[in-house]
Amino acid sequence: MSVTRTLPQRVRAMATVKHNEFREMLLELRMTLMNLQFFDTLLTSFIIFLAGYLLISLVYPGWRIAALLPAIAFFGVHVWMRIRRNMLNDVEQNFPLLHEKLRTAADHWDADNEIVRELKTDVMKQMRSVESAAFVNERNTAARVTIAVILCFLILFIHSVGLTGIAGKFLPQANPTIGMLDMGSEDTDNPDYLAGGPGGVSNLEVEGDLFGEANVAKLGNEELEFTVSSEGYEIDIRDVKDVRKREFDEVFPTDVGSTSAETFEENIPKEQQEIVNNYFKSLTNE
Amino acid sequence: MRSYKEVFDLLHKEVAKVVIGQEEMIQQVFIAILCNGNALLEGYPGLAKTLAINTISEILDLSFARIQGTPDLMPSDITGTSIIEEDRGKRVFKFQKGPIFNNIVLADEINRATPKTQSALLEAMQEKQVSVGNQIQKLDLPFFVLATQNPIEQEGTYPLPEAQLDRFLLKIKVKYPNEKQELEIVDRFTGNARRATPRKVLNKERVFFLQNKVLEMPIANDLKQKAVNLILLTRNSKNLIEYGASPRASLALIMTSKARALMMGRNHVSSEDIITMAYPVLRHRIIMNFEAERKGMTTDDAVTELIKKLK
Repeated sequence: MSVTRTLPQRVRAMATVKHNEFREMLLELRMTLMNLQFFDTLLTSFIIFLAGYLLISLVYPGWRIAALLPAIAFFGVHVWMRIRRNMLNDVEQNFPLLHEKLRTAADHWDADNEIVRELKTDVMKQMRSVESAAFVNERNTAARVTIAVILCFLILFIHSVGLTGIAGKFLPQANPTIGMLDMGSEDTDNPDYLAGGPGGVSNLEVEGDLFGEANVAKLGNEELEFTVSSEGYEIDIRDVKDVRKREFDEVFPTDVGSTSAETFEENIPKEQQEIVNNYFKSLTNE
Repeated sequence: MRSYKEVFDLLHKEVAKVVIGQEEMIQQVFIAILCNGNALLEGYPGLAKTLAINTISEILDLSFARIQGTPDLMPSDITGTSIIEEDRGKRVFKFQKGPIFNNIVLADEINRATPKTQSALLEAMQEKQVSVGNQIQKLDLPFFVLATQNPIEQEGTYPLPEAQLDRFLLKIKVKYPNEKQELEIVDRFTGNARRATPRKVLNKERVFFLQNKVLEMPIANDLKQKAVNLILLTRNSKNLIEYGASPRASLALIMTSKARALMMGRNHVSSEDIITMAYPVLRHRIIMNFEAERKGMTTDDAVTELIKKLK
């Protein structure tokens, strides 16, 4: 095959090989840079998520899922901006020998003339010294990984000591009384429900006096103890005292007693009793 | 690419045997030749403009003619005319070629010639042909017009209209030599030392070859965009410029940047080429507004401002 080829054909074939080599090199370079930038963006997005998660856990634990939104938004925008930007500029910034050469060669990857061929060869030679480590800012990456770890620990800590939902304790909407009064299917033991999480009681539109007096509603999460007085059914919460244990030390009075009651009975002989009965019946009939 | 740089270094070296200093002017004249364009040289008298161009034509082994612009210069003095000649007993009209039928034409003090003569010259520059009577005569290629004009003594001159100025690829400013160069000029031309004669380095074919190489020079897309943005800025900066440059300026900027890159021995155009070439490409293509002129700004100052804005 090579014998039958004319010199220009062989030259063209050689050029095509170089052409493909250069194309592959560009593809590899772009993929490497994209992976690095993807990791970089992912790490920053993760930090944003953790920071958001921590903040929301402290304030409104029920909305923790919302921490994903800024992270996803950042990731999307950053990736879009990175794709739009010419990544080869980053290589040129790190390797001044390739300044303007790399993007020129990349823009003319399909051109084939003496000058472009020389440029491609030149770029490929200089690309040998390009290492992917040059595009990773070690200090910056280490700092961001440390921040992510710290945030993870903080999240674990606030959950373990129960620091979540601080806002629920201060905001008027978060009223546990409402939850207790509502004996429906909702999980009233769930703090999210009481603190105004999704489906929580504070999200209901409540008329002012539906659940009683406003001053009662202000009691918040305080636990109440009250005893029903044995003397009456009316409860005055302000007058509730501790239960008094009462002992009766007096002896029951001895002079108080009872005897069986005596009934009056006439002594009528049995055979006359019927005559008496008939007499009274006749009186009744009269 | 090193070989191209060696060629241009040799050209400069040969010109330097005759012309002392003026490296920038000589480089820009070569750039105009590589781009197959014409150049307008502006400088005070006695700055070796004519000598430099004459020397360049010798080095390139191209035919050279010089036309002195005067108010009584006629178009036929440039293009040539038909004369009656006897041929085997018959009288026939024969076209007598004018000085325009050379490869390099130096139009000295072009602004002293009348507009009619100027336009005859400018037709040749643009179309590479001349119309004489009802005949069209093609010019010898390569063909370059290198015109000069004097920035002083504007009395009795016919300044070139903007449309005609636009046809010059570059407007080259010829500066005074520095002290060292001036001393060397004095030594060389006032002594009895034998003057060196430059060697022929190139010829027509090689000039064509180099012109093709300029076309092959690659330029990155973002640099191309930068060059176009610079031209667009000339049209949009109304605080400085009354009338901006035409699309011909975009072509000129890219082409001359490519030629400069080739001369520098590079295999790509750099932003430095674009910035350097922006001055000779734009200085005759923009018209400053009254406010900028009142402040004493030159077109070069305006170009500097635009480059700053572009960054």
